[in-house]
Parts: sequence; structure tokens; C-alpha cells
Amino acid sequence: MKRRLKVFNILGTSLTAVLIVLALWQLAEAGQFEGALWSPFLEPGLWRTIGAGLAATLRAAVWCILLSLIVGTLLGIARLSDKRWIRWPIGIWVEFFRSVPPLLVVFFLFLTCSRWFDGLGLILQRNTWRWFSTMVGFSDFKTVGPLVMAVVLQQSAIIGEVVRAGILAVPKGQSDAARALGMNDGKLLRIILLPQALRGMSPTLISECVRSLKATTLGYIIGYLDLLRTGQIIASALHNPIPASFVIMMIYVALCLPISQLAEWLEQRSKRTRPLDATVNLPMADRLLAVGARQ
Amino acid sequence: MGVLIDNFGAILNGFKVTLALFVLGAICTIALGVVLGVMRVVPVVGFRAVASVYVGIFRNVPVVLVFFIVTLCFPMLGLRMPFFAYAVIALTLYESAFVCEAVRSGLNFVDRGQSEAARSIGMSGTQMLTTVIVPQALRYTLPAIANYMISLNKATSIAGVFGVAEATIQLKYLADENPSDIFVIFLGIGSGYMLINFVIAGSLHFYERRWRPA
Repeated sequence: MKRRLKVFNILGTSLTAVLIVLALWQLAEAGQFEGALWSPFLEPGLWRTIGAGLAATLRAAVWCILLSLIVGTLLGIARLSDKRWIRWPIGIWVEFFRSVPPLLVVFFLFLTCSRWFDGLGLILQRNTWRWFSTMVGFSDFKTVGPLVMAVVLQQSAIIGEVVRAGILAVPKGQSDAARALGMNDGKLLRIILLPQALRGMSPTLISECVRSLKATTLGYIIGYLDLLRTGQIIASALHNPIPASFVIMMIYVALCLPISQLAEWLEQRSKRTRPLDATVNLPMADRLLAVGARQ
Repeated sequence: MGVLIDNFGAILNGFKVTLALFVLGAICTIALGVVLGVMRVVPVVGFRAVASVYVGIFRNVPVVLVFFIVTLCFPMLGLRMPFFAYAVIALTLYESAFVCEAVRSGLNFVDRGQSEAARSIGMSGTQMLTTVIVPQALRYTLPAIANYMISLNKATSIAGVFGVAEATIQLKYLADENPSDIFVIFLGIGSGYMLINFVIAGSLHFYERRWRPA
């Protein structure tokens, strides 16, 4: 049985290798590996353009992540309020923005508020230091404003639900004990509930940050000069869409993969600390191997 | 309110396309996601490597970029298709990476006794996977899959920018004609999406209760 598994392993692996080679062959036949298509990516000038696009993406992403975490926490707390006139409107708000596509919100805000954002950006640009306004990107407020606002509306609604679930998951004894010590609502939240909830939520919150970062590409659609838009400009200027999109894709993967990996690691670690049946955690591959070996 | 009634036909047509994108995308996504999920746990090094590279890339790339790559690079390789097909491919490529991870964790969650029992009544590895383990794993992963289906439904809106006349792009068309009523149009189309998501969540919740894992 073990030998049969080994044969399967070798056959399957060589099959995939053959398929990959065929796919690469196809690309080469289409002339996609010609040096002329890839050589522009050796020039530092092009990388400066890509760097500017990357900076724009990161700027929008930092805004989105910070604001959505803050607003999301507030929404999550508000949904747990014991006053009905707070809980219900916030509930409708959260349910609406959670289930609406972010692009719809981007379009709506871009068509209605972009002029206001543009004016606000100009005022802020004139009245702050220049380095500060380039760092924050006030000159792009016309597009980055609606983009960030739309992403924050969606992500804060999602994060609000995560925070609410996280707080509800803290054992009831904790808040009872805090009350017995005479803590008020604010202290109970700040000292007892939020820190404990945060431990359970952190993997989800971190992967939501990746989602916020990815959602900034919606700016591409309304003309924000982000990494994806830069890639598109490069692709159409140099007539090399495949190399250009490969490079842009790899930059996005390099940005997001470490954060996703961190979230996964945190989740694995929190699972390991919980006592669970050891056999349940055994990966399926090991199980198939182990059963095969025994026969 | 008048705008919504006057343009009900246009919005409804948009939602028909959205639903078509969603249904086709969901079928392809779940099929590819299950195949990739199984590939990630099977003891064949090549399959596991391919599936984990796939997941590593497509989970960490924006869906707009996937659309961009599919619509721009496929024609370069001689794969010419209507925009609708490109959109379904892009949605499937993106969302199946998430479904794959959900399926994988479900597979690892199926009790070990199940695979031992399947082996002891003489099932082959393939038989054991298709008749015993994958069906049970899918039940465990149903809540996660429901979430990804809702995210798929929201992602269909990107297709509007890449040449498919679905519901979100109707906002842009209608707002050009009735700039003063844009808020009502926004609420109307948004409620349409909310309704679809509600139906998805509700039906999966129904199956979740019916198929509750023992």
C-alpha cells in the first residue's frame, strides 16, 4: 500500500510538472518571453513610476485600515448598547453597508461628493505644510476621498460585526465580576471586555486589513493613480500587458501574503492553546498516509 | 421613488445579469474550490504544491486585478471570449482560492474514525474521499462557504466596469440621466443586493440546519 502511494505521488507530481511545462511552452509560443517585453522592468525610471503608484496604494490603504478599525469598533460597541434607539439604526446601517458591493458605494460617493472632497483637499493643501500634504495626498482628495470613505463604510460594518461577536464571546463571569467591583460601562469595556475580545479577534481583524488593502484597487475604476492604474498605464504604453500585470500581481502578493500568513499563524496558535482532540487536528495527508501504511 | 419605478426595467435587467454571473460563478467556484481543497490534502507533492501556490497568489491579490489580468491577458494568448465569460472566469479564479481554504479546514475536521471505518470496509482512497470525507467536510464548511458566496455576489459588481451590464453599472447610467435622484437609485440598487445576500444566507442556513453534522 505504501508503495502504491509512492507511485501515485510520483505520477501525480510528474503530471503537474508536464502541465506546467506545457503552459509555459504555450506562453513562449505566443512570444511572451521575448526580452523586449521584459527589459523595461530593468530600468530604474520605470520602477520610480511603480514606486509612486505603490505609495499611493499604501497611502489609501493606511487611511482605510485605521479609519475602519476605529469606526468598526465604535459600531460594534454601539450595536451592543442597551438603548434601542441606538441599537436599531446602527443595526440597519451595518447590515446595509455589509451587504452592498463596495463598488456601488464608490460610484455613489464619487458622483455625489467628489467636488466637496476636491474643495476640502485644496483647502487642506493650502493650509498645511507641503511635506504633510504630499504624504497624506491632499491633492488626490477628489478620488481618494470617495474611495477611502466607501471602503471605510464597508469594512467598518464588517469589523463592527467582528467586534460585536468578539465582545459577546467573552465569558459572562468577566463582566459580572467587573460590575461587582463597581466598574462603570466605560471602564468595563476598556479594561475588561475589549482587551479580552481583541485576543480572539486579532486573526480576523488582521485579515480584514488585507481586505481593506485589496479594496483600494477600486480607486483604479474612478481614476485614482494607484499601483493597478500605474500597471495599466505601463501595459498600454509598452504594449506588454502580461509582463506588466505579472509584476503588479507579484507586488500585491508581496504586500498581502505576509499579513495573511501572520493572521493564519495567530489563528493556528490560538487553536493550539485550546484543548482539542489530538486526532482531529491531524492533517488529512498524514491520516491518509498513516492508514495506508498500516494496511 | 418615481425614478425607481420609471427605470424598474433597466434595474431589473441589471440584476438578471448579476444573478446569472453569481449563479454561474458560484457553481464554478465551489467545483474548483473543492477540487483545489482536496488537492491540498492529498499525499501527492505536485498537487499540494500547485494548490498552495494558487491559494497563496489568489487570496492575496485584489479582485479588480484578477479581472484586469483576465480581460487583458487572455486575448493576448488567443483566448477570445465574450466579456461575460471573462467575468465568470475572473470571479471563479479569485473566489475559489477562499473556498479551497475553507474546504481544506473542513477536510481536516472530519473525525479520524470516519476514514478508518471507510478503509476497514475496503474503500479505495478515491472512494473514501468522494463518498465519506468530502460530503461531511462540506457540511462543516457550509457557514464559511455562505460568507464567500456573499462576497462573490458583491464581487460581481466589478464585472460592470469590464463590459458586462450588471446592476451596479446601472447606477452610473441612471445617474447620468437623473442626477438629482442618485440617492434613491443608490438605495434601490443597494437594497437589491441586500435581498440577494439575504436569500443566499437564508438558504444556506436552511441547509446548514438540515445537514447538521452529527
